[in-house]
Order: sequence, then structure tokens, then C-alpha cells
Amino acid sequence: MDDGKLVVLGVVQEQHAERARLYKQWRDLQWPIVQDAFNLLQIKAVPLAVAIDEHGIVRSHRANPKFVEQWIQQPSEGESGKPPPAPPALSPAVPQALQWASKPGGYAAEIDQRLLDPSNPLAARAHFELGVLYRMRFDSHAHPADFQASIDHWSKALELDPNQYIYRRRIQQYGARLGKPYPFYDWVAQARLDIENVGGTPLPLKVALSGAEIAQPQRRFETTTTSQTHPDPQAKIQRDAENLIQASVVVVPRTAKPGKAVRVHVLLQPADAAKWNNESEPTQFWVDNPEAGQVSQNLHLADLPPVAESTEIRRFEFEVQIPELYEAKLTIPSFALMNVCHRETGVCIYLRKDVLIELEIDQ
Amino acid sequence: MFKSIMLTALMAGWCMTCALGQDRYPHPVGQVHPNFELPDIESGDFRSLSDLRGQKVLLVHFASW
Repeated sequence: MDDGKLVVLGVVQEQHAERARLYKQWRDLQWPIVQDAFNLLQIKAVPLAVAIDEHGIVRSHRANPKFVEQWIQQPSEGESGKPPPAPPALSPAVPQALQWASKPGGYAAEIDQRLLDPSNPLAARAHFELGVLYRMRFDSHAHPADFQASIDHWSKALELDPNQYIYRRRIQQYGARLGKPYPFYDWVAQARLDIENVGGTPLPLKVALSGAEIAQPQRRFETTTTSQTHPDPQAKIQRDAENLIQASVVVVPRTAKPGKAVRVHVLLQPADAAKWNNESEPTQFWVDNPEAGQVSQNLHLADLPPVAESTEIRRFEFEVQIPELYEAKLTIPSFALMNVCHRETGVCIYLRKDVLIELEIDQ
Repeated sequence: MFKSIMLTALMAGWCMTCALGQDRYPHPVGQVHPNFELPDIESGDFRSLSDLRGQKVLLVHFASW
């Protein structure tokens, strides 16, 4: 907003610009908003309003309505004496971060490893930024390993700077419900409804919300495993010996703590030689009960797209509670039952894809 | 009028990562705010704080999560 007395500029902590655009549309915000995906401004938490005068000098970190009303009525202060020196412009700890963000590429190969060394005062920021870059690349290219890489870099950033709530929230966004302070994107459904109710068309989201991003927090681990029936109890379904479907597992956080929960994301993607066949029942994903602890849900179903064949990534999410005093690595067998077609021959088959989930426990 | 602008602005930041009691902003009062350039969420064009020099500016930091 610019009325000659005050310019309002929003700075949003958000990896996905289109989510912020939907938010702006919903709240009918009339001022411009810039996206600070890398936390260039190095804030520790939000929300906060910062007042900056005509000379670029910070006047308040907690500019409440009363302060602003009085402040804008004050005449412009002339610079009395020598103004304080301007500090250097803010820049990312990873120098190429903004450039790479506009064209996601091969970060791991190109990053100067000295940036990530714990002795570097900027190491926490560098890890955070690299985590954002990996997540951006995952969202645009869907290379499953990038998702775990982003979680690992954010975890390292938080380890180096445990008071950084922005880092903590980024991990919680994809983590277990027990550790969530609030549902992160539950407002999206309400926003779409409210916009439609006044005759508008909600702006689209490029990256669909994951289950973790809209899950409600829990204060007690809940499970729905008792009423679910094993879909292949005698293990007779033909295995995916040709690796037509590739499976990746992402654990948030990667290392589980005894007594805590982790969220497991399983990603299934057809190899180059294969496609999903969507003309039959939905893909099922089954998680066995672990030898120790418990899982939130055994059986999961993936909705099928309304086309005969497709190649999208199918995602399944569940949570595992680690028992207190548990120290060994926890392995959890799981598998998918799915209809898959060979691209070349067009032959479609019903297959079982086994996925072994291994949870590292923090000793 | 400005009260309503501010209320809207602060409502926008309802995300509520609370670190009360800590100084959450690293750029001190009384000092020149460092310049920054960040992309506009709608156009993608970079906006710079220095372009607003000569005007009173309210930076509203919030999150949409």
C-alpha cells in the first residue's frame, strides 16, 4: 500500500509463491508481497512488523497499530548529523541460491563444501538454504532423493542453530503429528471455499499439499490398524522382479528418537519401461506392524487419475511411534499392490512391490 | 484507517511461530536496515528495499503456513 504516508511491504516466509498468492487473494491483501524462501532477512520467527523511516533507519521491531498511527503523523525527520553507515546488502549464505532457485539444478555437485563446515559461522544458514533448494528441485523434478536431502539439511541447520524457529517449522511441515504445533495449510480448503462463495476463482497451487502439510497435530499417538485386513497374507502376488516401479522412502526426521514419532513418506514411481494402469482397483500400500512400537495405519489407498495410464509419483504417508528405551535399528516390511503396464509391449500385470523401511534410532 | 491496515497486516501473519521474549529481528533499531532484493509473489520481479527510500515503510513479516 502506498498512500504517500506509508508504504506497506509484506515479506512472506514461504517456499511456494503460489501458496502465498492464494493467501493474498483470500485475505484480500492490497499491498505487495515479496517471497523470502531462504530467510534472507534472517528473522527468527513471525509475525512481526518493522517500521523503517525515510532514511532507511529501523524505528521499531514491534510496530503495533498505535505506534504506526502516531509515527505516520510525524513530519519527516531531516538527517541530523551524519547518518549511520548502511550495512552491506543482505545476501544468501550460498551465493548462487537465488540463481539456482530460478533454475533448479545440480546443487550437491556445485556447492562449496566449506560453506557447510560447522566452523563456518554461516553453516546453519547454508544448510537451511540448501534444504530449500533441494525441496524446490524435488517439487519441480520430483527426484525422490531430493526430499530426504532437504530434510537432512534442515535438520543440520537446526542442530547448528536450535533457536531458529523458521528452520524448526520447515521440518515440522513434513513431520509427525505428535511434533506439530498446528496444521500448516489447513486454511487452504477454507480459503478456496470462501473465495468461491463470493464468486471468485481460487488461484491454483502448483505443488499439491501433502498429507503432512494438512494433518492436524496430535498429543497422543493414534492408530487405526486394528480393523484393517492384510491384502496378501500368503505373499502369493507376483513380485516386481523387473523393478518396473521404483520405491523411495523419506523419513522425517531421518533419525528417530526413542519415545517419539517419525513420519514416513513412501514414493512410488514407474521406471522408464513402465506406466501405471488405472483401469482397475486403486494402488494399495500395506505397512506391517513393527516388531516394536506401532504404526498409525496399515493399509493405504492411492486415488487413480481419470486416464487409462499415467506415470505420476504415488505417495503414501504414515507415522511410526518408537518405543521408549529402544536402541536398535527398526525395520518395517511394507509393500504395494499395483497394476502396471510395460511401455513397449503394452502388457499389464498385477504386481507386488516390497519396500523395506529402516528407521535409524538416535542413541 | 491505518488501524485497519495494520490489523489486516498483522492478521496476515497469523501463523504464530512464537519466540516471545527473544529479539526476533536481527537488524537493530536506530541502524540503517540493510538492503535486500526479493521476488514479488505475483510478478516474480525483484523488489528492493532501497527503491522505497524517502518513504516510511512498514515491513510485515509473516508466513502462509
